[in-house]
Amino acid sequence: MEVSPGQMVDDDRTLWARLQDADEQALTDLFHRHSDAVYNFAFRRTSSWSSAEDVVQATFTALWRRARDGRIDQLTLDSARPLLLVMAGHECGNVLRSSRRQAALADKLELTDDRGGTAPDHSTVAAAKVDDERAMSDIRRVLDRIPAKQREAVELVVWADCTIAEAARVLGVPEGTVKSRLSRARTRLAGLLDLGSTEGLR
Amino acid sequence: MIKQLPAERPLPQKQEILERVLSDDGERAGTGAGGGRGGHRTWLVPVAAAASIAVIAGGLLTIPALVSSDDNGTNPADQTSPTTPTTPRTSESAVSIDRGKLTDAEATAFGTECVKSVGATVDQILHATKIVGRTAGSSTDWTVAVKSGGSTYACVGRISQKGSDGRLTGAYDFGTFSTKHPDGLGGSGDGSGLISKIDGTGTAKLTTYRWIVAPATATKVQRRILVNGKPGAWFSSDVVDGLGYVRASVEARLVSGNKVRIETRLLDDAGNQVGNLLVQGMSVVPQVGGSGGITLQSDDFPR
Repeated sequence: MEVSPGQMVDDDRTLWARLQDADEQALTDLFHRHSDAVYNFAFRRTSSWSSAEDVVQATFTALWRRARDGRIDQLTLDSARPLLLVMAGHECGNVLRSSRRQAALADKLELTDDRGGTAPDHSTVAAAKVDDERAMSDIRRVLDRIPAKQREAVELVVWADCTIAEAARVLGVPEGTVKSRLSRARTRLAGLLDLGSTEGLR
Repeated sequence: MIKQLPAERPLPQKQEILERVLSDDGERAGTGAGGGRGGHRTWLVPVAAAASIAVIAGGLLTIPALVSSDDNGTNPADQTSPTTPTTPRTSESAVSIDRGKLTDAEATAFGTECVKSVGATVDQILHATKIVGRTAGSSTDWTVAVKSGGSTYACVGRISQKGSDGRLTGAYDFGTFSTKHPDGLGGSGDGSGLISKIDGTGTAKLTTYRWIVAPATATKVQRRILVNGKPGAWFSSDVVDGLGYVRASVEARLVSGNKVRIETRLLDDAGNQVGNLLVQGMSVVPQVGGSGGITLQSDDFPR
């Protein structure tokens, strides 16, 4: 969607309300607005850009199915992003569980690339993505030292820039709980990961 | 040592993923919020050098609604030799995908954003044009090549825009120009995509695209798709700054065993073909994993 100066841009709550009526344009606008955030969230969860693409599709497909089934609840936050990230978190598990099929496809694509395909066109980006995945895998190994609930708080607040209030709402816990989880995560991972400071978090 | 998080990247193939979401037929609805169980990846991302398109098994051929025609001719019915240069008949139809020029500001902004992901800066902008959007009903896509140092980068899509939440969202594909294409002509991003139902039934949409470094006398680049020997229309775009970007797509019912052929040609001002007709052969094959879906396989690189 190209937006010209002065043109009204619907906020997420408006789009979400239209989504309750299975409005295709609302889904399209939400996708363009938040798919990058979901993509990067999923990458940080799976350490795979390819799997992250699948997670984006699975997340928005699940959302679209719910919309068509009339199963979209009212959005209580100003932004749909935290909710989409939590949905993406569920889909990450699904995508990883189907890793065998993904691996078969990846092998096939790699095979064709090796034989003179499009790899040379994207070699720079491809190499950078591999580096990203290695780095992210290392980070995940460090992050796995803390409990899942603390990891979730880190992923939402520190890495995905959700506010404490947003994270608390979508995780269904008090804001103080999110803060304490972050605090414990920072303590446990001090010197290993840069998790910023809980102080001053919104 | 404190580990640093990798930088964020824009979602690639954004339009295609959105199309897949919207084309979901809901057959597996009711599985809850996690309803999307694996197996969504029916879009075949770059399938090697050959890769892509078209079909008419059921006689169905649909051209995106936004596409206009250069002339009023009918679809070509002839087939050309894969290797013999030919002079196309002037009566052959050509569907123009061009939608005008970008302003300098637009092109520079888009190019700058596009190459930022690899740490490059803009030395020169080439091919600052707009083409028809990838999906029917969508806006135009921007096609820009960026010279930076010794490399030339290819950018196709739309520039990021700031949403109401202040976040920027982009939707573009990125590639690097290469001289390593099997046909010897430089280019980038020769690929194709197939969007179909997970079980392989119904109408599938095939899209193929390529950047090409054109010889000096070439003014247009055209591409068409043939399914089981039956040709679709030529899709056409002007060569600008020595570069051409062409994209062709069709919708058709596809079944395993169908043969798909992609033909690409360059034309001069008089409409004569420049150089050889470029041909890629593909076959429709069952998707890996036994999901019942279909995908495309290069005839040059069988699995």
